[in-house]
Amino acid sequence: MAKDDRNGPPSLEDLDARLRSTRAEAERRSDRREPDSAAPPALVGMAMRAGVELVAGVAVGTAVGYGLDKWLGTSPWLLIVCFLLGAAAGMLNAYRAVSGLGMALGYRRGTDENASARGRGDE
Amino acid sequence: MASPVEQFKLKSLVPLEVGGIDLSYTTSALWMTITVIGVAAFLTLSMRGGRLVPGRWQSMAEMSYEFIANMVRENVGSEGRQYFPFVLTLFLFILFGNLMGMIPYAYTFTSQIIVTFAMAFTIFLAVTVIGLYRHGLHFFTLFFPSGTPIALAPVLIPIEVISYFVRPVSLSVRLFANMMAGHTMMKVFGGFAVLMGILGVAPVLLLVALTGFEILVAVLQAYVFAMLTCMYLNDAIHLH
Repeated sequence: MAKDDRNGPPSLEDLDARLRSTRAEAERRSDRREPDSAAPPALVGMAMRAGVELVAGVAVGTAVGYGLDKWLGTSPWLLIVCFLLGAAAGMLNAYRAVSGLGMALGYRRGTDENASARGRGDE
Repeated sequence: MASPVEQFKLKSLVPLEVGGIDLSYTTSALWMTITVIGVAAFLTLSMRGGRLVPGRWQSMAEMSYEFIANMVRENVGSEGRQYFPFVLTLFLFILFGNLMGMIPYAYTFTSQIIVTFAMAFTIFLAVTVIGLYRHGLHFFTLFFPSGTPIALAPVLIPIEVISYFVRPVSLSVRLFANMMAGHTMMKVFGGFAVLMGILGVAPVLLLVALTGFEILVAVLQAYVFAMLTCMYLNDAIHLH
């Protein structure tokens, strides 16, 4: 009878607890994974990105400035300001693209241990 | 001889107009349909056997699955798992679209800015909504990182806001420009081969190299698109 008990289906709570612990363990392990060493293909992508980033920044900045000028009737001041800001944003994005910060906004690197372990694959 | 950009012309196959809006079924839509069917067939047919030791096709399906799964895990972390189906779909759609565009007489729908922009803008909206949903108004600290001198705010915030709005543009332009430039270039060299007669051997040889390069670009751009989607998701989820 005791043998029967052991082989019988385990209780759902038991299964649930085991599943949870296994999942947490797997998550912990996958989060600590070393960044893939096969990052280099990204290098070609990075190089291609930088150029597009520069142009797109200027284009969007100019478009925003032109739109605001049309709306507020302040031509040409906002166009000039937004063109410069757009150029700055473009350079910032291009810099981020090549420096491996990705498209991250801001300058904070991940502070929590999780974020630093996650790795961005190209740091 | 056909102009090099004529290949991008849309032909309407089934004319359809609803309320003054042209909703015709075009060559672009046809190739999107073929791509969707192709991806679905690739994944279902290759996994039909479901063997423990995978065959060639099953191997390819498993590799593409694992490739994206790892990409999501490494770039977004375990919270990103719920967005994995979206990234995989996006990646396979773009990859198949790019590669099928390499078949002669096929139409490359990723060479249309509106197609890539629609995808990029969907990602942009989704990422913004996910960020706002997860962090509420705290999401806007993305535009002004803590520890920055307050005096810089009037300059920094507009720059960061613009650089945030640049995302859908650069994401879509990158894919579109790469595909369009590549296909135009191949057509131009094809034209040279016809014009130069016996000397046309040289452009044909170059065309062989270009075709290989184009296949590289097709795969690379699908990878970059999926990769950036992951990075944007990471931004929205972790706000670093």
